[in-house]
Amino acid sequence: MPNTETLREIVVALAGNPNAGKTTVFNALTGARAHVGNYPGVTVERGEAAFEHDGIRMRVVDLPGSYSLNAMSDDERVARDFILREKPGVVVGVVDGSNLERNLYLFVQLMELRVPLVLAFNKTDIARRRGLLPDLDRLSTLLGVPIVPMVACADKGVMELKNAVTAAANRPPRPSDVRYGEDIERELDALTSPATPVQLPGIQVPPRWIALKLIENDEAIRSLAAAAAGGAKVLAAADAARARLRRHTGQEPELAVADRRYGFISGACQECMPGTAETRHLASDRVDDILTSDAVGLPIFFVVMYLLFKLTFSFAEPAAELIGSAFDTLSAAVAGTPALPAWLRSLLAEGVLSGVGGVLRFAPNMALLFFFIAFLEETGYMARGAFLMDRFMHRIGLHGRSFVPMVIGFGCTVPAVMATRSLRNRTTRMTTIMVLPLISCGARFPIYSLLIAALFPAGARAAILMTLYLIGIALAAAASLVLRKTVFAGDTEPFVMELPPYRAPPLRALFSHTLERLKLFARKAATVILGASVILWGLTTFPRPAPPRVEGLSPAEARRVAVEGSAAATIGRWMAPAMRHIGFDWQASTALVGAFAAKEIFVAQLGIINAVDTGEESLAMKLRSRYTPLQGFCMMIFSLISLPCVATFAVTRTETGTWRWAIAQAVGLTLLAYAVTFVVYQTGLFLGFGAGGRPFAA
Amino acid sequence: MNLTSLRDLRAGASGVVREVHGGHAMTHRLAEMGILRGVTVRKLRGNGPAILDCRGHRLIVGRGMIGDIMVEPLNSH
Repeated sequence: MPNTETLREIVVALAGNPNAGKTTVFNALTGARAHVGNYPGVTVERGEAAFEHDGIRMRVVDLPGSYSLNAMSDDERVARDFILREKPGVVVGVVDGSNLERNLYLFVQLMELRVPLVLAFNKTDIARRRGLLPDLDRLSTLLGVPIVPMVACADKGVMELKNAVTAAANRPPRPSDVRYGEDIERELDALTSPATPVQLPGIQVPPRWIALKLIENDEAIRSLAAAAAGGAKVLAAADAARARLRRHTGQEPELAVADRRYGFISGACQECMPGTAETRHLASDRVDDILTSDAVGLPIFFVVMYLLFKLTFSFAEPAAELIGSAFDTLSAAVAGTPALPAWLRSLLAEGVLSGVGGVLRFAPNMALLFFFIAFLEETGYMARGAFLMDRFMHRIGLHGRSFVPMVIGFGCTVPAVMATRSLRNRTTRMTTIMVLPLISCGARFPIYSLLIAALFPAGARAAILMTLYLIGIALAAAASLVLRKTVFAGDTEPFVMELPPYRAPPLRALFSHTLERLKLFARKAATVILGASVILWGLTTFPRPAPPRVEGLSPAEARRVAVEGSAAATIGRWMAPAMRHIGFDWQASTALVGAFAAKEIFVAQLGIINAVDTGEESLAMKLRSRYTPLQGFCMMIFSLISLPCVATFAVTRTETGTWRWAIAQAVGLTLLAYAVTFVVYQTGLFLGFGAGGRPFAA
Repeated sequence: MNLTSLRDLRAGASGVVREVHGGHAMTHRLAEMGILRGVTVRKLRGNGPAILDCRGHRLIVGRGMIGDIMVEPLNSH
């Protein structure tokens, strides 16, 4: 139902192409309260936020970026279904003004839906600089839609957009009809005539739109129409119309429709643009001559990826140490407060603070990683990466587009799994989801960071880190190849994507993206990890040893005895016979139990077990005395491959639609992890890398 | 008319799209991205995936598809 004056809330949907700056407009509209529940650059989930303007409460929904509304991918389907079914009060079509024709292709389809519509003409500054700024008043008249010029990344035009949205909500504009040429128009008229009343159950859309979708052979609309009364008759008429159009135009009707739609757009643009400028890509092309060239493109790409991790590792270290020592101080203060009962001191210091602190310590690393990935996305370099990688992705049965979720996977597997929605082909998508946990996510980073710093000399650290990431990538490639040959055999999907020109990254957006991701991370630390830390503290504390057993022992010894009798140790010992062959002692096995809740808990758990065991010594020192570098390496490999975290497990279940794949993934990865780590450890021992460690103590 | 596939077109050359082979989903997707009969495209680089100039925009088109896009080469000078 459209909103009336009495309703004080309207839903405003933002639609636009992937590179149009939709999320920037969303942030500019809703301010710092904006919550986009996913990863920089790729909008998969719908972000939502509200604000008030002119006495109206506006609930803004950020739809997935798409080039069209033909529901060929999940992104397009989500965007279209939202507009069709939830009937937003106003739709704002965000258009990249420096790339007008392609962006209007989506916008024109919004016009056809006859929803109250506003065109947000974004990136006005770039369009003007390139001589591509059209006469907006003229364009507005031609399209029959109000146009608001904006530079969203500089907050320009925000107030005007709010005013235009209010006006459109009160008095919906009447968009012009897109004319499709005599032959198609004739069929549209026939299909909307009373003889064949086209109606879809539960959806109110213009009959002309339904007729157009039937001519375009839109499967979703066809099946809806088939279910409606008189549907068979309508479909028969549509098929006849398609056959006639195929004869007339000499091509598939949906291609003719796309052709005429572009024709309409070109016509409108030519009327509003004085001469065409062809300079916009020159500088960008010249950069691409180097960055995408056969000779140096890939080496540069790998250097960029290496720098990404090198910088993440070294720049964040001082801040990370500061946070770590702050938590240590706090923990020591709590442990030394006699006013608190002993069990509470132990819970706070050894459960809560050492658990959460051990993970929050890596917030600076995470922040830099998120920032750099967003930076690469926003400058346009990530699209070049997809181009460079397609030949390899193709070879392992994946798609250049699979590369984007893979890169996001370096931040967090959960949004990466969600980002696979942009893969149109189900087999490609399923394969990508299955192998994504092999890409080292940000939560693996604390594990690597701790063990590498503790067990390897400074000169070798970056190389070891890189090796771990490469092992994950190589395994993902191999697993994907195997899956595509067996379980998910089938065609690869067509690969077409836009290559946006390079641009200066909008810094403010980068910072806010980074901040959002950090907030998510902190929330995870505060909830899941806190909960798991407390449970694990319980497992390492209970059952308590009988008093005579600890009498006369030093505090450290008493704690050691306590842990050795605890439930966690029982589990660790139970696993030990199998785990010793891959370099784990029972302490490390115990830490592994907790890593299912979230990968980074492995670190928290090592912290707890060792704090219990040693008291003053720092964890790194303790690890150095306990494990050989080979064992440390094996722990990292096993953490990388085995059992994904609970959140990944849950999102895989949601995205694949069945528990079957989530379980298959978890079991398969754990078996693979054991096999790989077994080979690495045994080979390492055989080659003599096992020397210098303590023998396994019972 | 002398047709050649985009794969065989040399980098830097332009051509007018005359035929697009392949399944419905693929041709429709290409059409929506602007690769339609009669459109002039310029191949900028690449034979794995290729980078094309189409209507003043840059498109990446996968290796599986460039062999299916037939163009009439334009004489460059």
